[in-house]
Amino acid sequence: MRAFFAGFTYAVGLVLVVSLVGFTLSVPPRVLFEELLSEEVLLALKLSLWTSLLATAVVFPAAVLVGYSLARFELPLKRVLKTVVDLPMAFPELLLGLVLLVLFSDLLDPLLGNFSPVFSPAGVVLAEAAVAFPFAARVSYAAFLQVDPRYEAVARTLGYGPFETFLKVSLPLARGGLLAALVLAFARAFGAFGAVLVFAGAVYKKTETLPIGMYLNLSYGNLERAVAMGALLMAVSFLAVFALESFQKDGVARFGGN
Amino acid sequence: MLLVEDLEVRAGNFLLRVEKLSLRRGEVCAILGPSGSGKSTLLETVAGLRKPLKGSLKLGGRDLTHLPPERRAVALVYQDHLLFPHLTVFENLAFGLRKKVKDEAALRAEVLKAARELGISHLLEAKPDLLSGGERQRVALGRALLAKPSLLLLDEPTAALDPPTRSKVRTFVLETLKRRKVGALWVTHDADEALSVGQKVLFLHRGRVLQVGTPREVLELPAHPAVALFLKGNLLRGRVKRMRGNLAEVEVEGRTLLAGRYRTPPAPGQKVWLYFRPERVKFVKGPNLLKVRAVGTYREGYSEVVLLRLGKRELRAVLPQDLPKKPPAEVEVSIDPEEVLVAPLLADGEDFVP
Repeated sequence: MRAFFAGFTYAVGLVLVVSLVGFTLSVPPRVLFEELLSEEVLLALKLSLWTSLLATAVVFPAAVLVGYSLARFELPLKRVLKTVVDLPMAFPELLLGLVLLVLFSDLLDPLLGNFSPVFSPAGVVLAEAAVAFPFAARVSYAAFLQVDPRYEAVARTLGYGPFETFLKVSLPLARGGLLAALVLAFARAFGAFGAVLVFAGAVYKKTETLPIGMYLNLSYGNLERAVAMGALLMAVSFLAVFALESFQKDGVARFGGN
Repeated sequence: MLLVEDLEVRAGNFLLRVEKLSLRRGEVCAILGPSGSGKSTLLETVAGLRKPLKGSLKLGGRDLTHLPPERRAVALVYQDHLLFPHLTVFENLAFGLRKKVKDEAALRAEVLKAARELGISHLLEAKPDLLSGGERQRVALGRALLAKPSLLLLDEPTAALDPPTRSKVRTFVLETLKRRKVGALWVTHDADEALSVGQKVLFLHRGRVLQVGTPREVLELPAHPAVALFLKGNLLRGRVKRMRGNLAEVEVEGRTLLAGRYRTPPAPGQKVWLYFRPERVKFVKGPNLLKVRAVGTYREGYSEVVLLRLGKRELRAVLPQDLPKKPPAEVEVSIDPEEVLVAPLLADGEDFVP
């Protein structure tokens, strides 16, 4: 039984590793190395990193607030509210980008004056944030649901006001799940493609993030450079997710309580 | 010092109503009742976690009714202790005190003193998950007491502990409350516990207070058949024939039983319920002599209980140590009439009397 399940799991892991390594090694190491150090790839990496870090910085606090209020309060129309927050997860990114494009180039344009995020790095941040938000909100909602509200009740009777209780008790107790929300927000932002393409465009060396760069190089027929960018994307994502896994305790359900 | 008046709280599918509950300084009141009777709802309302529909709460002359929990000077202790897992024992203990004492040295001194009193000085740097159940409950109690509450709210504080630890923690909590002159509402569904911890017992059933009284009153003069049943007493249904002096002659299952304990003398012809303790049934000749069939025995805690059949009804009697384990099928038992409570059978108690 255990051998079967574990064997299957290792097989799945092996298939993934072989595919990813095979993908990377499809380009000779020397060429890969050169491509990785090319100006375009380094610019794309830099743009990807700062835009997705900024998008995460915007999205994460918002996700924490939304997650907490959905997990704690009886709200009118809560089911509708939750659906609306989660909905973009079900959208193709393309649609998200289109919504942003219409919103900013038509409806909001008169209000923004000279500032237009369309086809600019600011647009990249906005698009990445839109992609990342529902995932971060959903995970932080789940994180707060895990916190027994009676901890908060105890803190209240010990003299702490509601906001202080949130900071001193709810946040630290939801720490693990919130960390997952943070990493997921970054990973989704870092890998965002469709929304960025439609809203910020695929402008060479200007709005060229790693996913956009892969797309551009594929369309030029520069497969080596596309693979190099893909490998870089995998490496950064691997680091982020591995960091998260190392923070969280390895869980195995066991018999017995304490 | 605690005064609850005309309280009404919506709780799930029933309304919790407490007409009046008053506690003196340092008094402990056990809140007893079956699961879902509204015990925890009452605690949460006193804590300020639930808003009452109407009524008032006063503590030490202050009106609490509209104050948020943090300004009520009450502290909650739950059965599963709920120590903050991200803080050390020291920080858990200091949690409430930090709101009152800003000087770090004074705070430290006070926490250390309390830790010595609670016998947990050696645990101060540990995280709560390394502690035993009894130790955790001591820390939870310390954390609550260090916030200097006027009233402690204990929600089944010993329910999660193994029996030997339970009685140790119970004694310990009571001694600590007494020493610090702090009163408490002590929720429990364990009748033994309710009768041993408090100066008062409040019995709740489906959101209604059926009785408030001393443990002795509740045990000897239950105000409602539901209370009598919960205390595992013998309950019988009967009709009063007449009064003979201070004793009521009650017809039960074609026989006559004498009952001498009542709040108001019953009237002839009245439908009544009778209540007496299984430990008061004697296996010797005496007044209220009954010929009954012993249909079985079972063990309940430390005592052997005999099931007796009286007509269609079943009675329970605690078997004295000096009698053989297996009583004969036909036995004679007697009950002192002064030990038999008689009370009018009202519509709302009908269902509880077999």
